Amino acid sequence: MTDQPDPELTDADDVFVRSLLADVPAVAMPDDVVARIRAALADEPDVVAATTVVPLAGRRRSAPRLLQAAAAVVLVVGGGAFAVKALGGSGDSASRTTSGAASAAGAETGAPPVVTSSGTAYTQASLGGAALDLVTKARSSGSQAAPSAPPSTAFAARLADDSQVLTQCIVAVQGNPVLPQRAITVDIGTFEGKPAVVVVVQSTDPQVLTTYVTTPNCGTTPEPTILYFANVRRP
Amino acid sequence: MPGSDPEPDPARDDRELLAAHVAGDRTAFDELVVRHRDRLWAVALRTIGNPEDAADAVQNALISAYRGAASYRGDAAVTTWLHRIVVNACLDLMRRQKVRPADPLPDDESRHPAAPIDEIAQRDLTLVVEAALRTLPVEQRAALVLVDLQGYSVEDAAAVLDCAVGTVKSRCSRGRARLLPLLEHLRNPDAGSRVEPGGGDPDQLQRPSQPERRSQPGGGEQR
Repeated sequence: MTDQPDPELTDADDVFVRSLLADVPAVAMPDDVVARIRAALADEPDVVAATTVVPLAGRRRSAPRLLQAAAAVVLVVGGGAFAVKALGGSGDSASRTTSGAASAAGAETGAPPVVTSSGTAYTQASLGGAALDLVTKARSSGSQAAPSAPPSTAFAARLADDSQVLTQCIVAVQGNPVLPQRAITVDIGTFEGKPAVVVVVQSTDPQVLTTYVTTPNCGTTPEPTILYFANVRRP
Repeated sequence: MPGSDPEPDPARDDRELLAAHVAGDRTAFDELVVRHRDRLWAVALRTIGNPEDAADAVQNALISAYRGAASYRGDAAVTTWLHRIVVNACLDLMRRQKVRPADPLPDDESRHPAAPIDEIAQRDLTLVVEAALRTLPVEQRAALVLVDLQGYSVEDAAAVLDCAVGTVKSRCSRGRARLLPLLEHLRNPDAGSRVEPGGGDPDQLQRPSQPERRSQPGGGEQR
């Protein structure tokens, strides 16, 4: 179809066709379509608002070292400092707190964001409940976390050692600078079998947590790939 | 949400509404839809060519945008982002359908007995143009709908179509060239129609009086 040679078009012809197309009257969405779309959107769940993985084509950057490193990271951002807590396979093994640039991401409670490396295998189905669990754990241990062992992965270590990486990750996943930057916790694990970072952010609605799942290069690239996102309502 | 549009919220621009939606504000996305639905509908309808499929495409696109709002990175206007999703939904639908026969025109002009002559002329013009557009490859059609029908700049259309500006220019130019022989009779009514949009009589068409120019979409955010 596109292989056929196109006819010649003079300037006058070009103007004629353009003006003809421009004269086609504008149309408004019919009422029945408005009602149909309104109903369809009303049926969308608000507990988990997004149920599809959202790869951002063209925004992926290669980060082989980081991709080889951690599993997934779940990030919930908090106040003026952050803690890194490597949970490992059997439980908590390390945690750190750092003040500095991460202060841009303050949690509603003022507690620092907690970074863990649990290695949890997150899925779309489990993410909502897991985010609530992460927030509960972060509140119980986050701000008073003390280093006891190094994080279990290179990426977790980088988050622990470099507050800028954490801050950049938190800002990058939220993407839009007008979004509130109140992160509660971050966890490194896997999502649907692939290494990922999970970032849990307090939304402007105190009853809603926004959870982002992103690739392990989060914080080292301005536009990390968002693999998934969900709004989770607190019980 | 069902029942009526939300109260207009001029205090928040599109980006703020999208951010509020991601943050859990249930009314924010509704407001975005109200702001942009007519232009999204026009693009879908002119690109696909029939209202049923256009409604499917717009609905699917808006649900996709609703769910995927967190993927919006702010590198384009929200309206451009929404148009991109709608156009992609249209292109996907058309590619799946491959070739679809043109929908027939109403064969009884008495269905519009009270329509003023200008209104009839504009309606017929629309039908002839839509029939001609349907003969184009979908990429050319989408480019022409955005640039020539909807008044997008080439740059905005390139952002919507996720391609280079030069590609949009090329598609528009080639599309116009293909449309010319199908629309030539509208410049010279004695030449007769080469498009048979299903029962209408294009030879009876007169060039309508210049309609009101539609507002220019794209680019800025609404407040």
